[in-house]
Amino acid sequence: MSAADSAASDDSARLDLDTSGSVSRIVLAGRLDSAGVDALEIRFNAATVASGKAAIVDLSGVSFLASLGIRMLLTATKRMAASGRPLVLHGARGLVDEALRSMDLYRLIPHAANEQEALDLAEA
Amino acid sequence: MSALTDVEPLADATWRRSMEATTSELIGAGRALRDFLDGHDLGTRARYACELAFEELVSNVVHHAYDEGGPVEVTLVVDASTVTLTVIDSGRPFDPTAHQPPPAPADLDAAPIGGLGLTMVRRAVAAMRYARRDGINRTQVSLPTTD
Repeated sequence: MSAADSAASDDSARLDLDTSGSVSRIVLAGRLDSAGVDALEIRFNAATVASGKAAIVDLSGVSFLASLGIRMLLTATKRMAASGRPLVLHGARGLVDEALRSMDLYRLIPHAANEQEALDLAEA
Repeated sequence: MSALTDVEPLADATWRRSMEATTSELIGAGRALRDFLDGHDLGTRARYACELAFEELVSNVVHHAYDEGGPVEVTLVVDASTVTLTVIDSGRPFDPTAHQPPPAPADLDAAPIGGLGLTMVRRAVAAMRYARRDGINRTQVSLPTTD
């Protein structure tokens, strides 16, 4: 990878985490592609699978979702479900939301229309 | 690495990258591709589909074409009405046009973790073609420049 390639990145994946409540609140943003998943997957798994809490994941800032990003979300959802903890998505927009719908992911991964509904689902 | 194809002069609206099939090269090439696309007035959906096709097709080469790495060459051509992305590699034979979408899983437990990328690409592009000749895989997708 050249220096010019590195300098060109202005939409890199980001993760913000709030663990203060009974449900972990995770905000993902940027591109969930090979680079994004490579950068975030360990932190995302720590914030979800390893946290011991239910989790809600805000996707409103995600601008691009590749299959590796879907795999990251699906893997965490499955592993959390195995221990009785929900992971609830909310906030996906535009073509990211369309990708999740067209791949039938909303039938498999709990999702909500907004953050409050996501919290309600996660705490149910 | 040796070039997989004869190097031809590039038109203004052509982007080409020859690289090793590694994740780090994929990431760098993806950034360079987005820089190139910034200079072209594609529709939002068309641009997303270009980036998705690049990511998924090259990622497949990185993860499945070779046992220990090898070359991959990507060319993207934008003309007045069509975007064409071509991915060439000399790895094991793989025809993505023969890929069948997996059946819808009954529930979360039955959901496969991987294998979604080609289905996503097939849904995003207008056409996909594949040929293998002289040990070279050539996969090409095309789509309209406007949404």
